[in-house]
Amino acid sequence: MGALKDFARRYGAIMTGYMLVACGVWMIGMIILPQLLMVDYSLQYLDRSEESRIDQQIEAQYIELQQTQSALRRVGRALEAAAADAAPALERQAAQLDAEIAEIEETIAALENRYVEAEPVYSLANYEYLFTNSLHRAIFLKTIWATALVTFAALVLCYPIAFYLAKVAPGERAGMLMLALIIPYWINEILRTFAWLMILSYNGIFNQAFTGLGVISEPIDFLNQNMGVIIGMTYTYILFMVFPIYNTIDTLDKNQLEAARDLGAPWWRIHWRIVIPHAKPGIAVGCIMTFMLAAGSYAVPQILGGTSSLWFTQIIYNWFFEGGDWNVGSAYAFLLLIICVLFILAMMRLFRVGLNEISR
Amino acid sequence: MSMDIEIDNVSMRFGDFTAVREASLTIPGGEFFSFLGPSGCGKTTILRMLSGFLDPSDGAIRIGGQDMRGIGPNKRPTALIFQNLALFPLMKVWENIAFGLEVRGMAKAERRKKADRLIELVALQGQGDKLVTELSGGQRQRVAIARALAVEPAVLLLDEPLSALDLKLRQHMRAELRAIQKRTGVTFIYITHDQGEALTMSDRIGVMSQGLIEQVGSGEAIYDEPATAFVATFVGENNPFYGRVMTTERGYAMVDTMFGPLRGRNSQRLITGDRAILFVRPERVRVLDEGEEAENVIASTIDRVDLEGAFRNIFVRGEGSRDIVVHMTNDGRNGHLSPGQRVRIGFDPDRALVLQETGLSQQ
Repeated sequence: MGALKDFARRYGAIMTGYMLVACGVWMIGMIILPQLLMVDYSLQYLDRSEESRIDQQIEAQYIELQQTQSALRRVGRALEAAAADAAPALERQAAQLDAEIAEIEETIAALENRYVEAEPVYSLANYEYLFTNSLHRAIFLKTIWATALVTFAALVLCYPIAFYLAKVAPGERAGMLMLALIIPYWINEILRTFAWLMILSYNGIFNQAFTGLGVISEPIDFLNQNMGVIIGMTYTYILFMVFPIYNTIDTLDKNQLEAARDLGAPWWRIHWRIVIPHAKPGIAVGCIMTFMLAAGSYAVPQILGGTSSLWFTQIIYNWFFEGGDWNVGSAYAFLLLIICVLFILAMMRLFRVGLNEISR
Repeated sequence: MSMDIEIDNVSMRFGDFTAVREASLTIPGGEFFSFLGPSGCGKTTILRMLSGFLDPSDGAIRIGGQDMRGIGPNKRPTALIFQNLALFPLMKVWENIAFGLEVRGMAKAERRKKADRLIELVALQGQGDKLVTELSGGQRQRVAIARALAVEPAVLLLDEPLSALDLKLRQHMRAELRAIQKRTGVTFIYITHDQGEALTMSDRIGVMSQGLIEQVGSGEAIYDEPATAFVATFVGENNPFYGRVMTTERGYAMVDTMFGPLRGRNSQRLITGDRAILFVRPERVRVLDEGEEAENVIASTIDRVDLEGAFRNIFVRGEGSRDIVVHMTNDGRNGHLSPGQRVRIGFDPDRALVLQETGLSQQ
């Protein structure tokens, strides 16, 4: 409260009011309410078994209706062409078909009357569905470990880059390298991912080059394995790992590295005891960002993934926009969110960093 | 444990810039040696060559007779104390001190024991489990010393480690450093631009300017017998009188200055016609009483009198804009001196030194 008064004194009532309203709209309108709505959706279970039974019956009736109608049309054509003596029999038949049609339409109407919207019931059934559907469960678990793998690969790749940029490269070269890292990110994610498609596809650059050189005898089918998605994703989110680590290492006093070396430490111990402990908040932030982005990525697996390398986000998408079941979709999305939050907490625990250090 | 250090005709070039020029020097084991010079004189470069962060462009550095070329800082029998100390902020005091031992694979319990002994040596009892960020400047200083001593170096290199401390603490730490050096017998090589530090602590001092070692000697030698005009002006205060040598005789030279001929010792054996500067220190000049005579006499006007407490600085108008400074002990007899007054000042030829004027611009 004191901080607020202080703010009001410094910036005036209007500015303070605006800040409060803006923060409120942002927090409540854009974060809390949609999330609550989603949680609410995810807890509403719609029992659609009765609905689908009636659907099937109606469907069957419609098929019969069509068949009857086409029979009636055939009778109509026969009647036009028929001689006068055959007409009465045909007319009888037409009348009988008409009656049948009326009967079917009546049945359909009756069925449609029985058709009621399923009442939503609050339950955890939507969540349970993930654990009973073995395919979805497998994709969920695979998404988690593959995301962890992407995060780890990005960390292993980025730490040396960040250290080199921050402490080894002379000023001018560091700037150039930084530009070289940033510029590709001016191209949008879809295009960059397509570039990887060209590299990794069955007849792509990688396979052509390496079969041509005789390094591999058979082209590798990256795209139908998780490999393609993992490579593409590591590339896509690498900057989110490099920059937090670079920023923390950059603040490390170079004399500390020299002092450690002077005291006899080999390079790996300097990293283990001096650089990595100092860079911990950066590493934590980098891992969290990469994990979150990779777990929630849709475009990369959509482009680089095959049928056997579905990402969990694609399943969620299917529930929302193809399966038409927002409730299960919400439950799935919420589970993914929970996993991500758990990952954040685990990283903060592992690196023993608090929120204040992360926000630095 | 103590090893001789030989700096043998060492030069260091960075591109076109020569940071150190043909330096040759032997520092015997157990000595407290200081490199003294203004910033950019090459003293830090020498230190970095000794510690192994740089290899000399030419010449050799030998420690204990072994050529150090190609031997990295982590493999040398030296330990460096950085100007900003470079303590590890994420480690406790004892962990900082024991870092070098940890690197050498010593068991934790043993490390702790040795760290505690060093903590005692530098008088930091009870601070071992604190973080270094919780310590005061002087305490951090001691941690840095203990950390460097922990690896039992033959040579301890110190890069102006006292410059960040306030005056009182600095003076205290000088004595402390000196005492630790005597107690441990480790060779200390100390880098500083502060002549007070160099004079109070060192057995010998090497004065450097523009990559050259101008003079090596004890504090007394450097102060009383500066070998070059640079040393004479850089170490302590000095009044210069520019001119040409008129005559020389048996170790003395007469210089023709703006105030007439002045005589001083001719240690460089200058000859008639050489451009020279006659130096005399402010505390070796005296204000002459009425009728008192001296061999070298200058008559001028007092510009300013600064009372410093125990002594007075009398500024007498000299050549151009430069004043001649006279230090006078405040013995109660010179209170009558005031600006504007004409005075005669004088000094003995034995207290003045005639040196060749080289590479020293008339400031």
